[in-house]
Amino acid sequence: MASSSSSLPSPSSSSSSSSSKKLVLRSSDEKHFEVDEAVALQSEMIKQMVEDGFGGDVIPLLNVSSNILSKVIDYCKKHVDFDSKKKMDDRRRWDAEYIDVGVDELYHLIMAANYRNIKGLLDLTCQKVADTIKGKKPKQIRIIFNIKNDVTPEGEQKIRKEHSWAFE
Amino acid sequence: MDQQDGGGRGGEGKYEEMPFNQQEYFCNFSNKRAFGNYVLFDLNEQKQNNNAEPPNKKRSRHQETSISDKISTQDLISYLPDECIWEIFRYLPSTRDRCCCAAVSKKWLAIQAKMRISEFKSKPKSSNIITSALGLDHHKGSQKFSRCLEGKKANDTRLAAMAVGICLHGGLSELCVRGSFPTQGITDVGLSVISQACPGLRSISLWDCIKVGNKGIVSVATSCSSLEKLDLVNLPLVDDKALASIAKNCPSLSSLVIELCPLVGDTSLEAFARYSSKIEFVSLAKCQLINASAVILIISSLPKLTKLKLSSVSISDGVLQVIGTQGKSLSCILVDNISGITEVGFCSIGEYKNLNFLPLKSCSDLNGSSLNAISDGFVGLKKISMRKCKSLTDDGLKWLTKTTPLLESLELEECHSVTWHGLIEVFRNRSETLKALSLIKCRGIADVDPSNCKAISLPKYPCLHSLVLKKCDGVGDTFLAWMGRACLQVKHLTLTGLKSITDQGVENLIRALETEQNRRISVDLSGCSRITDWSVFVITSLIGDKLRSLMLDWCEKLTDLSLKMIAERCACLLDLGLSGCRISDDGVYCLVASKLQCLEVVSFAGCVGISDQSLHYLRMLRCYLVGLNLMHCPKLTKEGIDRMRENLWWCDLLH
Repeated sequence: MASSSSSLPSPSSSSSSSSSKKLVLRSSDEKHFEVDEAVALQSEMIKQMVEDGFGGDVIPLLNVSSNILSKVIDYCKKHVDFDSKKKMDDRRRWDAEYIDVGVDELYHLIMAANYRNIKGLLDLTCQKVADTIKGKKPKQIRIIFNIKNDVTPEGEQKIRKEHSWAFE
Repeated sequence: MDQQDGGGRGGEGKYEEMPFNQQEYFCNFSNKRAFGNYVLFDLNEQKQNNNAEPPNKKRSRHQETSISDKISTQDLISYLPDECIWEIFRYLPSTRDRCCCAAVSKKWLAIQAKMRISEFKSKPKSSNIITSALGLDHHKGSQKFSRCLEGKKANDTRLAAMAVGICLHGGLSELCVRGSFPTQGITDVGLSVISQACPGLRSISLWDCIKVGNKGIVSVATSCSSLEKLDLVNLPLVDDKALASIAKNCPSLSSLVIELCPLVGDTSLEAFARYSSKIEFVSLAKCQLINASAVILIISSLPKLTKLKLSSVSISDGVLQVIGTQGKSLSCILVDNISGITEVGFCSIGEYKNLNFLPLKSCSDLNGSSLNAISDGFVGLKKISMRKCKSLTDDGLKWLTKTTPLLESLELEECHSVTWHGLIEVFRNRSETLKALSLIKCRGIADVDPSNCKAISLPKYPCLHSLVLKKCDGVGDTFLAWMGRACLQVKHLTLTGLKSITDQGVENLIRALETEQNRRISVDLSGCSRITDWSVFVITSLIGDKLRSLMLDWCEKLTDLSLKMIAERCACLLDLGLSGCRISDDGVYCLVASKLQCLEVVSFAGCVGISDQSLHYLRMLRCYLVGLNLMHCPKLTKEGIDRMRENLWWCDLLH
């Protein structure tokens, strides 16, 4: 988690020494992040934008707050590294630690990953939610995610009846 | 720093000048997977705005991880776009997880219902428990599921739930919906969900689904290309467009029933005549827009059409003439309540040799003389069924049976002019061929006068295999004794609702049966309220070892003694009905103590003497019960029934 602090909102001049091309991202709360193009291009959406000629501008990410964005950038940075090293075990261990967050934060990460179209992160977060759901009963699932029960007792009975064995 | 900020503002400025809307640009990305609208039926009440940003929680990340490690503080997950939930579900292929997710909320159910097996990240393992619980028959190898939804069960939620559970096992092959609650019945949405989940559907039958329109049927057409059987009854919104789509997309269609569909007309039939070369059975009833020309077209175009049913459709003699001249393989024409046909028409089908079954219903124009007029024909006819043909007389029956040399089966229902004189003519003419005789609600059939009974006694006719007498009020013991001579070889004896017959009549008839031969016999005496345990004694002692099915429902004088005799003497009985009889726990105990091993279906509905003790006995039965009717037994408790359901989970238990 130490690496995450380095990517918190910071003046971009400090990283100007790097030779690679930089992109500037702006979070919903108006904070700017400067990242390597390779890192930003993990997002299919940004890639598309760069290809469409928006690379030189600040890229606004309207739905992503700064702390989630920094977390997302963490992921992208690390995975650019991993892609070059190809160490699957390390990647898995890092992913597991990275995704060990609460349900609420998980939600924001999924939204960000989906919105910015970062396939790896979307897979990771969705897998995490799926693992949480796995083996649980409907009632437990509702408690974990605090979902309001809009299935009437009668309606639930119908579904239960249809698959009575699944609820035993 | 300044430069950077300036650059940022510059960027913003540029965006403002952009010729297209920036929001639109991003929207395109988030919707790029072009996801279908997942809103199902009554979900509309709770339709959530997927793009709405939930209120942000201002908390440090440390707090977040520790508090909400397991439980969310608000329902954030419902704010996720459908495509994200879909993405999550892709990791949960097991049927159990799928069903649990489907039960969480309507939104989740809707998404689950649309998931396809190919969309999951890994293939689910189907465990034995699951497959057997779903009623999958391992022995047959082929997966055949059929479901029938009736009454309140027939709604979209149920269809969606079904789509979730069943598609992992190859899906349904038969679906039947009987909608009797119009306000909550199935809609196009439910029908398209289930048809997309079960592309292997072979048979679909929709009755009274008044909310289903073209969209639903078209979705069936495009998803279920192997459809073989389609029944559409009372679908007021479906028109030619939907049926034309079925004709084009379902080349295997072999059976088609269209009834009470006021918008369906000739265009549909033209499409079927053109595309559906495999159709064997067509039934058209009460469709006002269908005309004779379209009926002629399907008769002359469909090469495999063997059965045609026309009921309350406006046709003419021309149709029957076409059958006589162009019908290729047509062997059965059922005509019901058709007034436009005269003996000219019947004459022309009479010449048609392939015809072996002619059911006629409510054809009031048909009388003795017209049957006389067509006496040249019907050479191929094997089965005649006449319903509500009021003008059919003994004379007509005489002519009819004289001119049908191959006649095997005769069914008469509500033909009140027919008396036993006519029956004598039938037996005289067709004694060598007639195998089945059925008389239902024929008021004219009365007891033979005992004084000249001998003089007009029937010769022995060994061919009759099936005798059905239903609700013929005039039939009494003398008639049965008289019929006994024709029943030597009878296998199916159905005497239901004969209020005047007594033990004497039953005994005479049963004693007439030849008992040496090894054959299976089924006897139905339901509703013969005057018979007593004595009849059961005669039946069980004379033919008990040959009985396959014994129906004694609502023979109110029968007691535990009957059940005891049945249990002792009917070793190969499969089907037993004792509804409404005076059966108590002691009688049920006799069943358990007996040797009965094949018993599959038992009905004790309305037996007031049965209590939970009987359930205990039934659990001890050595046979594999598949059906058990315990409706209207006031002494049974809910707990008892529930325990029974747990123990005999494979059994269809009605209560």
